[in-house]
Amino acid sequence: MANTNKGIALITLAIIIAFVAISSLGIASFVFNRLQVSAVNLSQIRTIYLAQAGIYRAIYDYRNEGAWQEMEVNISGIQYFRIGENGSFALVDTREDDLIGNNTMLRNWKVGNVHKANPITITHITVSWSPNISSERIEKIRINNKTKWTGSETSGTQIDITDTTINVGDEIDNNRFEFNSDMSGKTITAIFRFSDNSARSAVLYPANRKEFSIKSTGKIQDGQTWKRTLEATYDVVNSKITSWKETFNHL
Amino acid sequence: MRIEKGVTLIELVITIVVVSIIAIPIGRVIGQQVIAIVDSRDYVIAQNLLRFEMEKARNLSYSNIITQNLTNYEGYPYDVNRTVSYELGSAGSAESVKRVEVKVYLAGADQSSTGPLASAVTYIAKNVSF
Repeated sequence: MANTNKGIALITLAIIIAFVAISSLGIASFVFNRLQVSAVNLSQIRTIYLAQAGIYRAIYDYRNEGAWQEMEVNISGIQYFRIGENGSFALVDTREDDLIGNNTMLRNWKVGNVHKANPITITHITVSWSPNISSERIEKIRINNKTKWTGSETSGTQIDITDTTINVGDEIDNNRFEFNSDMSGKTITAIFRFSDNSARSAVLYPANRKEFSIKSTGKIQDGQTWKRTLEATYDVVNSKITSWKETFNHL
Repeated sequence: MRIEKGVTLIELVITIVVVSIIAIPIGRVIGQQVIAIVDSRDYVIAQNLLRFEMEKARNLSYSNIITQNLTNYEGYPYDVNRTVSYELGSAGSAESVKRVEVKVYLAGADQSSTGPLASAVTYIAKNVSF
């Protein structure tokens, strides 16, 4: 019995120490992770409000000068926002849209350029319509009274048009989409893609708006970089933000 | 038998020494954990109050977005400071942009020496509605 009791206190101590050490490290690790999550959450909150700042900045410039431009602004310390890409400067006017030619042609939609200094160039257009019948096709795109594409494509197909540049302060009109069937009762949407690969999506019919869409990315640089991006559509006639959403395609 | 009894005493002495050596750092770790758990709770509450105040500021009419120090914000033991200044334009301008910065502190904290638990900054422009 005496032999078996030898060293029992030391072994017990070793077990207790091991148990306490493992428990402490486990709890420490949990608490550390929890604090890290708090820090990440704070960065996420701050970046969304930085993105909001960018949207208001663009609207201010537009209201003040009738145009705005891309910029990165350091609000304070490690906090920034970045605004602007070509698609953001496309002012889409759908107030005079109508269907003609037995409702097979959508005409009178316009696209302007509200960039302060640079032209923007449309390279592709994707036209979609809903409801979509499988036999329906888009067959011609005319911009500024010139044919930019002819063919036969289904709803949602990206069409490579002859590049169309819109100069500073200009607006392209006399535009037309021609279809092979009656498009009345349908919602027609276009995605304009620009030379910097940015895009501007707009419902062209039925619609009655004159809007541009601002993309703004809030950024925090604190060793790591945190980003969140908002996209807001601004109705220039009614001075209203008509849509406001988060997107994961950052500037 | 005598030798065996002596071994037990030596073990006890070693135990006391070892426990003393290890208990101090473990005690510190546990102490830090307790502090961190309390801090973590404060951070989470502060972040929620920050978000609440930022949204509130955005929904105020433009003229009512002004600097305010709000103690025991919404009944919670936290103080919220909203600092507003003109970033672009001025009070008399047809168009302007206000810079809104919100900081959340523990209630009664010495704000000159203690950093905020949470803070955020944004702009809000005049004449823009939703």
